[in-house]
Amino acid sequence: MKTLVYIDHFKGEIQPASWEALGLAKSLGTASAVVFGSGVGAITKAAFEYGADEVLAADDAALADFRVEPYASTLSALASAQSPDLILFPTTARTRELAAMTAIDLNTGVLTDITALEASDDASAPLSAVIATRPIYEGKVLEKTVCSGKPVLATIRGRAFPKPEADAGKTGTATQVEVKAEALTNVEGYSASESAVNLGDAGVIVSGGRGVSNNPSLQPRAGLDEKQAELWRAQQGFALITDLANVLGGAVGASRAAVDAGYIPYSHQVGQTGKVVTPDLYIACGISGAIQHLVGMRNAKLVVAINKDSDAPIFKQARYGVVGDLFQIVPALTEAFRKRLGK
Amino acid sequence: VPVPSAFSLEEGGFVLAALGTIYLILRTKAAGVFASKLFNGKGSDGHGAGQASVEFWKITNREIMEKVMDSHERDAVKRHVDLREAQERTTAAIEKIGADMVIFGRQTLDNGAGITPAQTARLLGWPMLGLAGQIRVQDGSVTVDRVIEEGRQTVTAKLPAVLSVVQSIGEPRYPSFMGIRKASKANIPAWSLADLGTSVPEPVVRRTELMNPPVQETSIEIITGETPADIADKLADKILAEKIL
Repeated sequence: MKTLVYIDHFKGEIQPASWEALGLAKSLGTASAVVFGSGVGAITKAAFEYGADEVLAADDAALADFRVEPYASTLSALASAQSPDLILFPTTARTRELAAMTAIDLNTGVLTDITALEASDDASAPLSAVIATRPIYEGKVLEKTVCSGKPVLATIRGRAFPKPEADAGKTGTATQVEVKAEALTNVEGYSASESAVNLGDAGVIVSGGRGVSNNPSLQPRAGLDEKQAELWRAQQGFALITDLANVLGGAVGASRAAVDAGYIPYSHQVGQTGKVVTPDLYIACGISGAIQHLVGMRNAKLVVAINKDSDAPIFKQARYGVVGDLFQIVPALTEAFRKRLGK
Repeated sequence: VPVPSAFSLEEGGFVLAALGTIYLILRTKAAGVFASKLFNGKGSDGHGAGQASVEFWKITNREIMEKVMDSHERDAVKRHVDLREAQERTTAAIEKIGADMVIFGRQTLDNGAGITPAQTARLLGWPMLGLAGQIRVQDGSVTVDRVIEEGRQTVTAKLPAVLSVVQSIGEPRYPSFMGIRKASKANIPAWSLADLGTSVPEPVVRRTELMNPPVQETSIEIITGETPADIADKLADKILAEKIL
């Protein structure tokens, strides 16, 4: 099977799931990495290191900012020339739009946010090159979908497929592809979010819930009203969670209750209305485990729950639990890992 | 649809109608009834757009038009996978109505795929401004602040344009009792495929199977100990023994 793999990046910062897509493509046959942007030499080099059989690059000032119209036109023209069976993307806000438009141009379909993919030689899907599995309804149900168009376009969920090892010895020369530069929009400015957090790619997530503001031993300074004192307590609580996340090289998550209470920005929210995450390790601190939170993290490989309430639903989802005060357990756990991991 | 020369929207999702006449393109009868309740609902107080939203109130009471697609569309929605034909139908309806701006939710009735706004934009040949958190219209252009994973991005395009909005664009209004009564009598016209001058394309994407997710390991081991440090040591050893770090 011949696959094009779109390597998604934002200002040169590569989405790690791009490499997972490349690994998946290699397991199915030949994999050509597709790199668009301006000054993308480093990305091209990395694509070879991660195993691309060839790299097709559109390196042009007109592609400096991701704008979906010229990117889609360039990709469509490239796909028409290359006739791949499959085009893979990591799932991001950019690639949803890019794959959507490219599918219109190529008169085919998109399978989004898939978690499994098999080549099809099954009689039940004679017209589709692949059969994809994707979770729907917040992961309550899985569906298998097929696409009778060619090529099949699919965006893969981060961390659903193994990431290949990079081999620094592998090099190659990128093939330049023709740029279709008709832009319909103008990017006028950009400001990075205060706390850029990528929960989707995190291997470890330490999350806090409403419980992080309940430390009775903390005495806020005088002059704060009740809400300010609560926020101050929550900040101290999230500082402990952040310490543990840092020692484990992980990211900080939060329950909706903590986000709604204003303890932490929405970008940290795990759950039905936040991010659905699949880390190797998920440590829930002071999170009771409302169903809307559980659907966001139940596919973590190992769940650890720390909560004062032994009846909290989060314990039903956890492999290891500690019934206790997170303000004592979390710092002790940070210290225990610091010793063991030599940090 | 005429667009005022300048307006700014920072909150109040339904105050979008301050733009002028708003047309709802709805794919199911149930959505039509729901939306007509919202639009006949409680007035504009407290929704942040002052005079403009009062104007909207008058306009929508008098002129709101809701287009509900034929029953075939409902079947497509039920199947939840056949997006392309839904997009073609929406596009045909937009072309029939004529509009300066088309606004979608981020994952409009597309089974979580999030591809409907972009595909509609492509079929129309209009610029796509996705994930807008704020919208400003001036002199035939629209500027949006996009809420993307990496931060906020300001992007401009000439109208007509297709937008998708994120949840933080505003709070929906809730219908009043009077609004619900009015809505129950509302006449919701339906367009057939022939009215739209379109035919049904062959579906490209199909669902072949629905499955329950694999059952997760749920047996829990509660870690206990004399002191927090003791518990933490035991827990850290257990986690490390899983060899996932």
